This record gives sequence, structure tokens and C-alpha cells, in this order.
Amino acid sequence: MGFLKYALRKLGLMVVTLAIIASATFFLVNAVPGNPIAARTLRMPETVKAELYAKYGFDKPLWPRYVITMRGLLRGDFGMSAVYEGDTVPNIIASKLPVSARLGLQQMLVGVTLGILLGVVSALKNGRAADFAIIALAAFAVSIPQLVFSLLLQKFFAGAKTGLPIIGWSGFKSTILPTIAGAFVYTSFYARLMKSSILDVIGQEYIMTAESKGISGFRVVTRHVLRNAFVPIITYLPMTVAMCVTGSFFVESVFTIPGLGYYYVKSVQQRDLSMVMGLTVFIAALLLAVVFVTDILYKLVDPRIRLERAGKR
Amino acid sequence: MSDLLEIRRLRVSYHTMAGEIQAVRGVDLSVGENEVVAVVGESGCGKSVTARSILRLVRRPAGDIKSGSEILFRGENVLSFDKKRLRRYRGGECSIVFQDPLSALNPTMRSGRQIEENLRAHSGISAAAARAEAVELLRRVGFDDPARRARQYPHELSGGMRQRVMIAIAFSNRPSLLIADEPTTALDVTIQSRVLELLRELQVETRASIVLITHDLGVVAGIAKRIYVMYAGRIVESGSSEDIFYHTAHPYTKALLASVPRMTMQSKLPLPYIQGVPPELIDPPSGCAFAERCALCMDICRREEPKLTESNGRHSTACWFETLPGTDGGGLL
Amino acid sequence: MRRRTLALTLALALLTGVVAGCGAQDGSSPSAPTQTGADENGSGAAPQNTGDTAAPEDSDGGEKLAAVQELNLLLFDNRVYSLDTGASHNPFEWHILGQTGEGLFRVFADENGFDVRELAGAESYEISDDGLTYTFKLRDHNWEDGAPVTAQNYVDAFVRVHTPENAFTYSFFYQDIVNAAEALAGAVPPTEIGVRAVDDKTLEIKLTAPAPYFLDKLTLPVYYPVRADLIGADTDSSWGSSIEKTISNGPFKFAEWVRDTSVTLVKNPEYWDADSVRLEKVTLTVVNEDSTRAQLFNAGQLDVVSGAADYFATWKAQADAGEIVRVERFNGRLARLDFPWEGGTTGLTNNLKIRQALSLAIDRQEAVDLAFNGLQLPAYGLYPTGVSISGTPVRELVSEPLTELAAQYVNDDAALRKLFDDGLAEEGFEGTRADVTLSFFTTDVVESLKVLQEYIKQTWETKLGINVNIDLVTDQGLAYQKMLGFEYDVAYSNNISTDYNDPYHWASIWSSTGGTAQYFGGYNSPRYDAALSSLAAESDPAKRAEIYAELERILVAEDYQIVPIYYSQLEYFAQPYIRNFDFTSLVSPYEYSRAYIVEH
Repeated sequence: MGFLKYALRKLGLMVVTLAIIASATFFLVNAVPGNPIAARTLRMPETVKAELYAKYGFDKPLWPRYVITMRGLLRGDFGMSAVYEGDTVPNIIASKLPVSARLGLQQMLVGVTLGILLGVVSALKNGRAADFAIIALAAFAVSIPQLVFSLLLQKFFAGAKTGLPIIGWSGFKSTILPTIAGAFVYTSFYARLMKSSILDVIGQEYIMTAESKGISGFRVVTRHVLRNAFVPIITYLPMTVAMCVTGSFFVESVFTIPGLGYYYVKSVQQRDLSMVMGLTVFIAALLLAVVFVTDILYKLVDPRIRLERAGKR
Repeated sequence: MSDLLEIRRLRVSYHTMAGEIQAVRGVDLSVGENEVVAVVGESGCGKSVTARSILRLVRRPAGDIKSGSEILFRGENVLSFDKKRLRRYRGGECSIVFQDPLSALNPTMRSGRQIEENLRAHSGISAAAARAEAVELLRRVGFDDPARRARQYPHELSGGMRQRVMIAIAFSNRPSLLIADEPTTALDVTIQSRVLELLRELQVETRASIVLITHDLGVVAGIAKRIYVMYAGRIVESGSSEDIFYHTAHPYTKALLASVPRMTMQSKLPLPYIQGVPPELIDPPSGCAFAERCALCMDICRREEPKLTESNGRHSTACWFETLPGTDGGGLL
Repeated sequence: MRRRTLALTLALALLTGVVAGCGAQDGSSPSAPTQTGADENGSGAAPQNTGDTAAPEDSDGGEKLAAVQELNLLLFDNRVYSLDTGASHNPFEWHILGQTGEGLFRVFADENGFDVRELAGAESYEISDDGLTYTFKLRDHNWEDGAPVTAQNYVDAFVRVHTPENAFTYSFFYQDIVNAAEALAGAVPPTEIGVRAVDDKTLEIKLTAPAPYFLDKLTLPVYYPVRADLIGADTDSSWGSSIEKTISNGPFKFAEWVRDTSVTLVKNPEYWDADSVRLEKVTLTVVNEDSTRAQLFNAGQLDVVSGAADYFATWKAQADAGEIVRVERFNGRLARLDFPWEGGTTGLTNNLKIRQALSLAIDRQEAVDLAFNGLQLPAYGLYPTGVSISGTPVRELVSEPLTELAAQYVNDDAALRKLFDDGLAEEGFEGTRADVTLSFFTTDVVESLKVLQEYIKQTWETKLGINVNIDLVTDQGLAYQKMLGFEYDVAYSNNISTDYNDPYHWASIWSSTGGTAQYFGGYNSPRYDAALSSLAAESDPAKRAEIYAELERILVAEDYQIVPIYYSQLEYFAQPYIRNFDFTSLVSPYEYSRAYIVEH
């Protein structure tokens, strides 16, 4: 029963947080002078200009607009894009989120898996040559700017004979280069995390207990070492998922991928208020949901953790 | 009495950044069938390392069981077991109970499973049979509701209960030899006696031999038949319980016995203790390791290391004062 | 149309030029078009395609059609915001809408690169003697679903554009039409504008005053026919946000549109001239990085490339060797400096003499050589290359007003300084030239423009001995505010494009009543305005040319309101196996409805 109360409390907090984020976004975007449609009104007759402003709500001063925006948010109505005729936040999310999500998840799959494997090797060969090699490699991989790396990949793989398209997003092959371009940011982090977690677990006495039972080395490593070493990894994963699913601006820009990251940055640059607000709230909600899921996951994965202050045994 | 376990010339070192720590510097020890033997000494004397060596739980590359050491289990040298033989031996023929059951049990595995794991590693029984057996074992070690306990995680149990789970694990395959490495040190005094009682019961029931490692002489009194006293990586005295308690030979043992607080002592008096500290084992002294702290120290003590010499029956001691002719030995003080 | 220089910077290296010298490839140079309908009361047969209409097997080069007729182009930046023709407001949208739709005319390029207007949706037209009534006879042709294109479709389009609730950016464009301005002001229902369907095939447009350039205005897709039955009466243009509701009467139709990413067009088999359309598919993709563009072009995955300036030297060499094709094209833009007519940061640039000094000090040829390797054309007037007066390139009729003066002063530092000092004295400035700091406002971050602006700054600092501060603002919204608020002494811009092929487009921008002058310095000259209005009564091209010349002279060489720097040229490189691909210069950069690929 504690769980239900816990969940409700968290949900309430989420709503409050989102309201604050939405408000902050609204005021920040409006703090910069100018609006996205002003430039189009140069030669408009006054009446038409008035219509245009009314259409996007720019005819009202700041506070009434704020109220209207927040009320709309409650209904789930973020309004229309002032830049792209007819675009709404829901349909942009519907069309672009799957793209970013797929790319992000592919990148994570490659990057995190590689990171974990490297971390395991690094831990088992701790202090030896392989360990140093892996640390150096990971550090190198994470320091190349994604932009540069993407361009380099394009340079190497350009041309029909390689069979890998260097721009676009249609068909599995075109996802390969962008996936590689963005995968290594995760590798380094997860490798180090895995390594330190494994080393930490190996030093624990229960590993010696496991060995003393005469069970196979494989089982010691999997059920005892890794099973416990994975606990911190699992708790980081949801947040990583949330951040990667919302897209990476650079990779999407260089490879011309119709993802959310690119669109979001463009919206900000173009001062497209309703889209910026809608996407910000959406992403914030996603992250908050992920935090919530992480809490639960932690509890599932490590039985020692309690969500609430449980009654004393 | 044929020896179930015989340890000869055991030397174990740990290689650290500071240098090579000689934790065990030549230990000979034997355990017979159906026998409870205790190894006592203060922290750092090498008794735990000795215990773990029996199961080859000394981890390389830092830990190093030196060549020349022999650990014979029923005549076979454990140190030369191959992987398969070692796995049969560990948990099957010989098992161990550790000091702190909270850290010695896998926190993400239910108690019952940790027992089942041991069962299934040594016989081909089915998962269901193993589960039933585990519940039985839990009942045997004193749980009222063993089925429920089996489903609980270690942190959901109290210290005493956890230790009993460890004991259940250790006894699950009816080993011939059980190493108990300070099994009660982490427990309350009241629980201590219950756990020791349990161990004794199980020993009588299964006729397993037990090597009981402890720093607490009070613990061994009722249960051990023979006692080895270790100091600075070596055995300094060994013999039957009666020999050690009533005919104490080595000055260290005497000092140890003297430092046990008694109910009859006057509350205002300071607690007795042994002056000084044990020597650094990175650069062990060439003479007797206890020399600096010994009231009976002689010149030769500092120069040469006394050998373990049998005085009468199976009572041996490593002390120049006791064993050199011309000195007054025989268990005074 | 005003353009943020940001848009142009990406298209920076896009130049307009002559197709001349692009190898001796037959068929790539358009032949002289027949000027159908170019005269008054013109009538004519179907427009000639530029280039060979006959099958390639018959062409001089004996080339064969390639098996795969697909074109891969760049989708510049990503400024396709809507597919609603009425809402369209930039050349990128116009370019695409021009391929998926058809209006009364279609623009091709002649062999010199000048835009040529040909009849397309209209078969013929008549202009009344008083120049107020235009009657168009529509060609028999259908929409892609088989419904005939009717005059009512055009009327519906015009009515939409003039419905104030729609708030279309280009609603101002056809205010020559009777009642257009009133409809936009809400005084009159939009249905009462002077556009009427006489019958299904006859469209009549009535103007308030004669406008010889009106036909040129009918090259913009803003008025293209629409299917009211399909798009309904909605005023939010949401039908333009996806390709679902679009329907084509042009050479291509939409296959796919992915925001910010790509547009895919396929041939429209219902097009009345489908036989001449040989391309099956055209893909336009956004490619943000120069190096990516280069990779794609070199790998043959991109057919026409522009904007990757770092690679131009290599490509130029390849073009000289005949491996690829290089095209230089003017694009109807003028890079210039604007002064605030009144006010400004220091207010000094209101002064005529100071303006003269600043304008005449610049060595335009040197500036262009330095920043663009000579690619751009130094400008000494207002009207950019490519603009014509009734079919004749403007510079054949009107010579640039500043050329001689500039030559006279450019190296005469002493005279320049004297001018400046006189100006300072007139303004009552306390101090010398060395105490002057002018604010030079710009929004450009492209390397070549930075070089250019640096050069101008250096010129003024050395020749005139003043200080110049470059004030860079990259945010569009902020820049807009700054311009409106005259928070600068001199502003660089290249944000006006030619919407229709007549100097009136340029001249009218500095009219004090048009609403645009505010943004370009707030120019307000009764003399200028008077000259501008006198055009309304004059329809003779030669007389009009004189008035245009006077307007230019007033603006550039008398009031010195602007300092022309260069006329934009764009540079393109193309694969050598493309034919009939027209690089048009003004409204849209490409016209490829009749293009095809040969075997390679």
C-alpha cells in the first residue's frame, strides 16, 4: 500500500515540476525581443498583419498569453507552429520521435553493449596491458566531437560501392553510419561504470563464499559477480534511454535525419514558441517519468532498497 | 587415528605495494576424522589465511601459497588438484563458514537459493528436490518457518539467522571437513552460544570434522578437542584442550589466558592485556616473534627462532624457555 | 522578398551566370526560345522547351537516354514551411511548388541565363488597350485526378490570397488588382476582387492602373490554381502541412515530404505536356554540411551542387577539364549597405557628404576579388543583373549611375577625407575624423562575407581615418528589431530577392508608403515618391526605362541612401550527363521539368 501512496506523491511532484518548467520556458523564450513572424509582416497591409498576429496570439501582451498557453497545456493543446503552417506538437512528435528513438536506441545498443563488454574485460584484466588499452581507447572515443566523427565517417563511406548511404533515413543501411557516429559517447561511461562496479563486487566476501561452494567459474561470474555488478548499470540505463531517445542534433544534422533533436534546435533558433514549449514539456515529462521508473527499477533489481522508510523488522 | 587433513610446511604470503607480507610462515597442522580442532590467536596472526588455504581461497596474484607447502586431504594434496577435482572438493567434501554472514551472502539471491546452489553443484538433483532439501536444511538449523525464510533475502534476516543459513549451506552436502572462520565473532553473546551449540549438534550428527578459527578462547573451551595457538604466522603451541588450558606452556598462551576478563575480577582494576604489538610480517624478525613482548625473553630468543617441540604426549610448544634444558619449564605460571 | 542574409549565406556561393562555356555538350545550352505571348495581344502555340524537344537519338550529339531518369538535388536549407501555394513566401518553396503545379506562365532560362517567361497554363492572352484588363485563355489540361483545370480554380486562388483571415505573407503582392487592397483591409469581401471566370476556360483580371510588369508577377506560385473542393475553406492552411491534400496540375507531383529533410517528386502522367517530361523522379535533400555535399557530388549521388565553397577550386579544375559542368548564374540580388535616413547610432550617416565619402571610398572590384575570388560583380547601381524591362536586360537600357564617380574618387584619399570633414562640419561634430566611431551592423557569419566586411571596415579606417565597429547579431528576431529601430550607422544586407522581372520591384521598395522602407533605413524622399508614381501613367518601355534610371540615380548617386557593393552571382557545379536543366535566376533557382539524363 505504501507503493500506491508513493506513486501518487511522485506523480503530483511531476505535475508541479512540469508546470514550473513550462512557465520557465515560456518566459525565457519571450525574454528575447522579436518573434518568429515579424519578419514576414513587412509588406503586409495592417489588417492582414493583425490577422496574422491574432492567429498566433501575438496580439496580446505577455501575461494573458501566459495564461492562455498554460490553460492550453492543461488540455494538452500546445498550439500551432508559427513557422511551419499546420504543424502541431503532437504530429511532430508522432512523426519525429520514432526516428530519434530508433536512432538513439540503436546507438545505445551498440555503445552500451560495447561499453559493458569492455568494462568486463577491463575489470578482469585489471592493471594489465589490456586494461590500459581499453581505458585509453574509451577516453579517445569520447573526446572526438560527434560532429567531426560524423563527417569523417561520411568521407570514408561516401560512394555507391560501399553500399552505405551517407545521408538520409530510409532502410536499415542508412541507419548504420549515424548509429556508429553516436554510439561511442556511451561506451566510455558504461565501460568505466562496469569496471568499477565489477571490481567493487569481486572484493566482496560473498564471492569467496560462492567460490567455496565449488560451483563453476562461469556461474560465479554470472550469477554472483555480474548479477550484483549490474545493479548500478541498470539504474543508469533509463536515464540514458531518455536522453538518447530525444535525439542528437549533430548526428541528425550531418546525416539529414528527420529527428526530434534537429527539429527542436531549429525551433529554438526560429523562436517558434508553441513548438519549443510543447517539445520542452514533452521531453521534461519523459525525463521525469524515467526518473520515476528508475526508482522502481532500483527496488526491483536490488532487494536491499526500500522505496519508503519501511517498518523496522 | 588417520588424519583427515594434514597441513605441512604451509607458507602463504601476500604481495602488496609495500612489500611481501608473510602471513603464514610455516604451519603444520592436522585434523582427524570426527574431530573438532581450534586455531586461536589474535588478529593478524594468520589463522584465517591458514583456514582459507585449506580450500585454496587465497586469491592470486596478490595471495600466494608458497611451493613446498602441502595440504593433504585424505592423503591427496589439495594444492595440486585440477579444476574439476577442486570443485568436487569445495562445498562437497570440505566447506567453510565465514565470519560476517551479511557480507558473505549474495544480497541479490534468496536464502533458499543460496543453499540450493550448493546442493545442485554437487549432485544431479532436480530444482524441485533441491528446493525441498534446502527447506529441510533450514528447519534442521533451527528455523521455525523454513519455507518462508527460504524465500527471504539475507538482509531480511537477523545476524544469527544469517549465520545459520551459512551453516546450512556449509552442511548441505554433508562434508567431511568444515572450516568455521570466526563464526561467532560478529554475533551477540547470547546468539553466539546458540550458534556454537548448533555447530556442535551438527558435528555429532554428521561426524564431520571442524576446524574452528577464533580469537576467543572462551569459545573453544566446550567444543574443541585440540587447540593450536598461532602467533605472527606460526604455531607457537598445540595440544589437547586440557593441555592448553591447564598446562599452558608458551608465554604467549599464558598471556592470552590471563587477558580473558573474568566475572570475578574487581571492577576498578584495569583490564589485563599483553604489552606491545605483534611484529610486522613484511620483515619478520629472525628470532622468536614474541620476544619483544615476552617477560621471559632470553638472548637466544632474539637470535634464533624456537622450533615446535613436543614436550609430553601431543603437547608441543615453540619456546626456548620451555624447551631448553636447564630452564624451568613444565607449565608454570 | 526580403531575405535574412542567413538564408543567402547558405546559398552564398550560389551565383547566377551564363551557361556559356559549360563544355561543348550539346543539348545543355538552351536554344533561343520563341517569345510567345511576349507582345501585347500575343497569342501563341505551345511553348518550346529549351533545348531539344526531339528525342535524344535525333540530337546532334547522338546521345541516348539513360535507363534511370532520376535527379538528385539539394533542398536548400530547410525553408519549405508549407505546401500551400497561397502561403508560400520564399524561393525555396516557390521552386518546388513551381514543379508540382502550373500557373499561367512558366519561366525558363535563355542561353545567356536571363529568365524567359513562356505560356504554360494559359494558351494565349489579350491585354486591353487601356492596359487595365487582361484576358487569359486557358489551355485544355487536367489535374492529376482528371478534373479539368478551370478559370474558377484561379479565381479561388486569388480569393484565398486576398482573404485577410488567411494572413498570407504574400497577400500584398497583387494589389494592382481591382479591390485587392480593399479586400485585404476588410472593407470588401474577397470575392469582389477584380478576378473573374468568364467561362471555364477564360480568366479575366482587372487592374486599377496599367502595370506593364503585371505579367511578370504571374510567375509566382502564390496565385497558382487551387482545388477549393479538396482543400475546403480552412484558414489555417493545415492542408499545406502534408502532401495528402496536395493535387498537381504540373509536371511533377509529390511522392514524399519529410520536414527539414527531403522532398521527393515523381512525374505526373496527367500533365498536359507529359511527353516532354522525361524525369521519373526528383529527390531534393537537405544537406547541412559542406563536406557531405562534396562527398555526395563526387560519388555521383548528387547531381547539382552549390555552396561548398572549399571544394570549388577542385571542381573548377574538373570543369575546365570537361569532367563536370560549371555554371555561373546571377540571381537577382544586390549586396549593399543601408544608411538610416534619420537617426542611427551616431546620426552621422544621415549626412550626404559623409555618405558620399563612405560609398565612394570602397574599391568594389578589389573587395569582390578578395572575398570571392572575383566571382561576384561589382555594383554601381540598384538593379541587379538578370532584371529586364519588357524582355530587355536592364543594363542595356540604363547605365549604372555610380561608375564614373566611383572611379574618380576611389583612390583619391584627400578628396574623400575632405568630403567627410565637410560632412562632420555640417553635422556640428566636435572633434576630428579620428574621434568618429561608426557602428557597422551585420548578421553574417559566412567566411567570405566576413572577409568582405572586414575589407570595407579597413578601407574606411585607412582611407578616411575613422573607427568602425562591426556589430554582429545572428539572431533573426533581434536583428529585425535592430533594423526597425535604426540601431546602426550602416547596415550590410543582401536580403532582397527579385520577385518578378521588372525594376519596379526594386524601385518600389524605397517608396515611403510601401511599408518596406522602414526596414531599410526609413528612406523618405518626396522626389523619389513622385518619380515612382509617374510610372503608373507610363507604359512605353523606353520612357519607363528613363524613369527607372532617374529613380536609381536619386537613390544611389544623389541621396546615397544605399551603397551598392555587388550583384550576386551564384556558382553551381553539375554532373555532365544532365540536359535541359535550366538555372533560372529570379524567382526560383532551377527549372527542370524538361530535363533528362543521358547515358553515362
